[in-house]
Amino acid sequence: MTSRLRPVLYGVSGVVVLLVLAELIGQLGLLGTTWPPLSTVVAFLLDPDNHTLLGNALAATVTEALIGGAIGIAAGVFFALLAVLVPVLAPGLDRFAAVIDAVPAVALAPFLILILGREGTPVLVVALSVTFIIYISMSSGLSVASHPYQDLFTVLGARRGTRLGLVDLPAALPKFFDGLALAAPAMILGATIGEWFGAKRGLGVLFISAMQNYRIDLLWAAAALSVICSLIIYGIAVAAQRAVARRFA
Amino acid sequence: MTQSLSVAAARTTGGLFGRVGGAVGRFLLVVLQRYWPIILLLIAWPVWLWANGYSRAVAPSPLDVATDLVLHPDVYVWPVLWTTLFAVGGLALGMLVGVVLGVLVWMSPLASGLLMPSALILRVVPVTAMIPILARLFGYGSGTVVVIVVILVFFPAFSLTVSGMSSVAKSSRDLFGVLGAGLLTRVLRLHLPAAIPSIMLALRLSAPIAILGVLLAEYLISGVGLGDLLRSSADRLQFEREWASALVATALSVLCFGLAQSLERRVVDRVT
Repeated sequence: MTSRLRPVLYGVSGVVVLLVLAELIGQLGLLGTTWPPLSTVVAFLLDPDNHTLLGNALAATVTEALIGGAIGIAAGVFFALLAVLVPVLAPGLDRFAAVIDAVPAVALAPFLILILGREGTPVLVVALSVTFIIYISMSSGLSVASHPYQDLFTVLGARRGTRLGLVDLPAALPKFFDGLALAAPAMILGATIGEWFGAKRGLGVLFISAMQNYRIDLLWAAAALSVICSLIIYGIAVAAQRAVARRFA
Repeated sequence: MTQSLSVAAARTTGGLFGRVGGAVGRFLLVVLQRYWPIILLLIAWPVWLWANGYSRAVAPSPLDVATDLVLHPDVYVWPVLWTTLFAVGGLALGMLVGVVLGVLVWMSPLASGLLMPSALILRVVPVTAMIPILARLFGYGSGTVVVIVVILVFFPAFSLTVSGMSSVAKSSRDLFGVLGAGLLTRVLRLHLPAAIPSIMLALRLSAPIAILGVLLAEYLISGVGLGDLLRSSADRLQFEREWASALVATALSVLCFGLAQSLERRVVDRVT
């Protein structure tokens, strides 16, 4: 066995162990009716009768997550750069980033609905949480460039903007992708929280209606779909992160 | 710049009065510099209510909210204490579990193969789907709140510990290898210290998440804390109280974030 194959093998067997464990808990009823066997959930997902319901919910949630995520990434990078280029604003932005993240989505709901309506609320919740994560990791990344390089550019008479583009920004890329990997699940989570406040479609709506109607199979199927979506977005972010880490190692 | 401006202000007015004025001006400048976005929002809030013609039945004004906070402090004290207790307890426990598991996983390829997928899956299950399932498993009480916070805090601590420990430069690894350091020595003297900035970043990222997790769980399942206050005041259409508890929750979360941030700076300054 080559050393390159080994981690893949371990990883796959780890997932298999986890899935078998989950299936066994369900089959033996160790945790009651709340924990169905995985095979039941998969059967529910594959049943064509459920595809319209699940597909509509999935499409709505993914759309909200991607739009909100794009807005959040742009805003996070913008504010992190603003804090570096206009240092006077930085202390205020740091505190405001914390406030943006701290305002509980539960409490913001009436306010957001007033501004954007029930359909726009999930996008805004996603955008707010992604902005915070990207801002935090970007500003942490922008400060990691080694001082000798910064000093060299300053001594050679580079403007702040030039130094930012040539030294600080490339040095910040690994932390940016760290942040993106952390933001991936936050995107789906934010969309589903936002959907709790009266959206018509979405996985978050399914969680609530399934819970209220004791539809355990539907609850797990929706949860599984949200996990798969998050994993795909997370996988893309991690792949980018690895590529960048290799390039800048 | 702050200093020179206020010094100039003190010079122009002159004397004792000028010095007091300079001190006040300096203080106001610092406040403005640190809190300008919040000050903008506090101004925009009533202006926006007024511009749209919203009445108190739709959205309360800052004055309504402040009045309820000042007249009924007793309503807020216990919920704040409960929420803080659960958030800080869950945060500490989640960080501990995350860092310990991160170290173990980093040391053993087998452990990492077996634990990474489970950790990843726990991380990406939205808490919105987790709460109904966990509540049915562990009951609709405070224990479930702690479980939820630990799960939320665990992943950033875990993944940042692993990535921080792997970030050690090759030359340092070679040095420890040449000197014949054992696994334990390498972990304790080289890789764990190298991971401390990442671990502190995880703490800073998780502090507000812990508060939010507690609020969300309290809102949905347990009958105590600020989350419950938010929900019950919304149910009774007490909008001033709902918005005031949202503000209190925000302040609490910002305070936690600030504490985590200053702790991070202090620790990172010491180790780097």
